[in-house]
This record gives sequence, structure tokens and C-alpha cells, in this order.
Amino acid sequence: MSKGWRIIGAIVLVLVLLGAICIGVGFMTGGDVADIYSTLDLRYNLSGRWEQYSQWAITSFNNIVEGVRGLW
Amino acid sequence: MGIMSLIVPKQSEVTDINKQKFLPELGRLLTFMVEEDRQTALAMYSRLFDDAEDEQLLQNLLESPTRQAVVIARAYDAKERKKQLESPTHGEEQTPGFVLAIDRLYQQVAPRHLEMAEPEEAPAEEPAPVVNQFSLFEDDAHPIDDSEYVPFQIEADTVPIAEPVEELPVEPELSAPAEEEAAEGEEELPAAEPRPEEEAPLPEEEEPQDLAEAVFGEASAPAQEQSRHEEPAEEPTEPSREQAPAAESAPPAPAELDLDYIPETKRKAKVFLLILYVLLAVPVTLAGIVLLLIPTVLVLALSLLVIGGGSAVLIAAFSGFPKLADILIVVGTAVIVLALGLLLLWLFVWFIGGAIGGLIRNVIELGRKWCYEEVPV
Repeated sequence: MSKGWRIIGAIVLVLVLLGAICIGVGFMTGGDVADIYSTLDLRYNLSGRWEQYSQWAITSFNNIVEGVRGLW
Repeated sequence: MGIMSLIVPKQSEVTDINKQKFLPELGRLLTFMVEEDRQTALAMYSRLFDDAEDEQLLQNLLESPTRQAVVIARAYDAKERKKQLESPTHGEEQTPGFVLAIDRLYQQVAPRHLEMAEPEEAPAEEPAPVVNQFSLFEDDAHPIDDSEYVPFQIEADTVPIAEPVEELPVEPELSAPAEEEAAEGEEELPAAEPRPEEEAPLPEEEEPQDLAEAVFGEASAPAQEQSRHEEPAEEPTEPSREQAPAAESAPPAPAELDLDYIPETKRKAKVFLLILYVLLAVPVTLAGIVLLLIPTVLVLALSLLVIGGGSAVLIAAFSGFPKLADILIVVGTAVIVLALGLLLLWLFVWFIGGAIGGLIRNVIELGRKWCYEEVPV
């Protein structure tokens, strides 16, 4: 199991370093987060989905709270 | 030391095979010993194989390298031994226990060598007469003119290991690996010095002194002289060469080794305690498993979520970004998210195999420890 931890740790470390390098290079070569967000929003409707999930989470939380109050 | 002291007999093929398997394995198992002692022990076991008269008996007595390693380990104190070897009075200490242990084996498997090795009164010019010495280090049994003999040279000056009798405590000086000496022996035979089988027979007192004798002979000389003065009547005379076959035909008397006795035990359950333990352990273990399953399932769900998200981001990176820089940023983010997902997935595996499996294993182990006892057979 400890060997597994070492192997997985090494893989994760390599992937994180690779990702960090990619992000760094992307920012250095003119990447922009606002452009990325707008592109993704246009393609996947991120803001609509975010709102949808937020509404679902809030409704679920309220239901749970009411259920707990009903128990008492 | 004469030329004939440099020879030992070749072994039979069967013995060679056993020896080849046995000695390397034993050598690996004896690494707890001081290197000098280890080499000495291996040389003695090598000698044991060479001189064994009954291979079946030898195999029965040895059983396995592990068994012999246990025997030696019981008779060996590495710390004490190091102190002895480093002390200025080195050479005057008592015989190491492991030497005695191996010699007892030797006395059982090669009694004929013992008889033949008991020497007569040595001549005055002999520098280190072998009298009343450990049997393992005496061997006059090999005929001089046997064509099967191979040269085997030991420099006794550089290997002054004493092997005294038990009542005469003389510490062997272990200064060089005997096997290496043996290996060197063949190479060191000078050209001017012909091979033993080509030479004319030497006088009786220069006849074969074996490896162990060469190793132990010199340093044990004082003890030998002392024992000769103390117990002259007990020394048997050396049998003639005509008597040797008769002695060879007589099978060696099997004897029990008391030194390496390991009592056999078996596990016996304490029934009441076992039932009680099962009644308590099963619900407790189940509760523990359930408790551990909650974070396990959560971690699994999270890891799947993260891996799914990372994959989606990675796919999105190649779906319409106009700039390479933006693609790089998205790909980098996706790779980091996937790495996190992999870590979480491994955490799930660890929960299943390490935590839950470990809990079950430990409960079973604890049950074995508490509810079973070792009883002699």
C-alpha cells in the first residue's frame, strides 16, 4: 500500500507540475480568463447551469432544514 | 606443514549437489555473524559434507540451512564475539559455541574420521602437533596417493584459528575466510612445487592435515600440548590404513542432537474466550466497517465527480478556443483537476484495501492472539 502511495503521489506531482507549466505558459503568451469564461459560457451555458444548480442546492437545503424542524 | 597438508579429497557428485545448495543458502542466513566466524562456520560445514560417511544421516541431521542457521544463532552472541575478536587477549578465550555445535555434528556423521584423526605422538620437530584436538580439524584419513585428491592450500600462518577441546578454553583466532584460503590454495601452488599426487609419499607426520586443521592448528598448539600432558592415556592410537575400510563399513551410530532441539507446538483454541470474542468482535467490526464505508463512498463519489469534471474541461479545451494561450490554460487546469481526481480515487482504494481490510485483518489477528495458545505437541 505504501508503494501505491508513492506511485500515485509521483503521478499526481508530475501532472500538477505539468498543469502548472501549461497554465503559466498560457498566461505568459497572452491567455485571458475572461475570454476563456465567455467562450465556455457561450458553448456550455455555464452561467445558466450555475444558476440552475444553485437553485437546486438552495431548495434542497431548505427542504432538509424544514424536515429537521418538523422532527423536533 | 607439508605438501600433503594442502590436499583434500574430492566429493561425490551427490554430495557436491547438496553442498552447492546448502552452503550458499547457509551463507546467506549467517550474515548476523562476524564475517570471520561466518567463513569459519561455512568452512566447517563444507568439511562436514566432505567427510560425511553416511549422506542420509548427514541430511537427516542437517535438515535444512535454516535449521542449521537457527542452531548456530542459538550458540552465537555477535556482540560478545566482536568484543572477543577485538580484545588484546584474543586467542585465549573459550571456544565459540557455534564451533562446538558444528563439531558435534561432525562427530556424528564422521566418527571414522575422528578415530583416524587421533594422532600418535608427534615428532619433536613438528611445529604444531595435533593432539586431542577437535575432530573436525583433524583428518588423516585421506590416502596420499589417491588420484582423486585435489590440492587445497591453507596458509596456516595467516589463519591462526585455534580449535581447542572443550575443557581447554582456547579462543580460535579467526583472521581469514577459510574458503577463500581454499580457493587461493589452488592458485598458489607454485610451479616448483609439484602436485601432491605427483610427489613421492611423504613421512607419516606430514600427511594430510585438512583445511580446518590448517585453520585451527597453530593457535591451538598450546592447548594440545597441555591436553597431551593431562590425558595421555585417553589418546587412541592411529589406525593403520588397512583398518580404514573396516571402519568405513561400520555404519555410524545415529545420535540425537540435543543442541538444536526445537519443541514442536500446535495452536489450541480457548473455546470460551473464542466464542466471547466472536460475539463481541463481529458487531464491533461491522460497525467499524459501516463507519469507514461512509467516507469511502463519499471519496469515491467525489473522485468520480472530479475526474468527470476534469475530462469535460479537457474536452472543452479543444472545442472552439481561438487562441493557443487559452487552450494551454484550460488544458493545464484540466490536468490539475484530473490529478486531484486520481488522488481521490486512490484514497478510495486505500479506504477499501487499507482501512477496511486492515480493520478486518487486525480483528482476526487479535482474536488469534487472545483466543489461541501454543501448546507443546
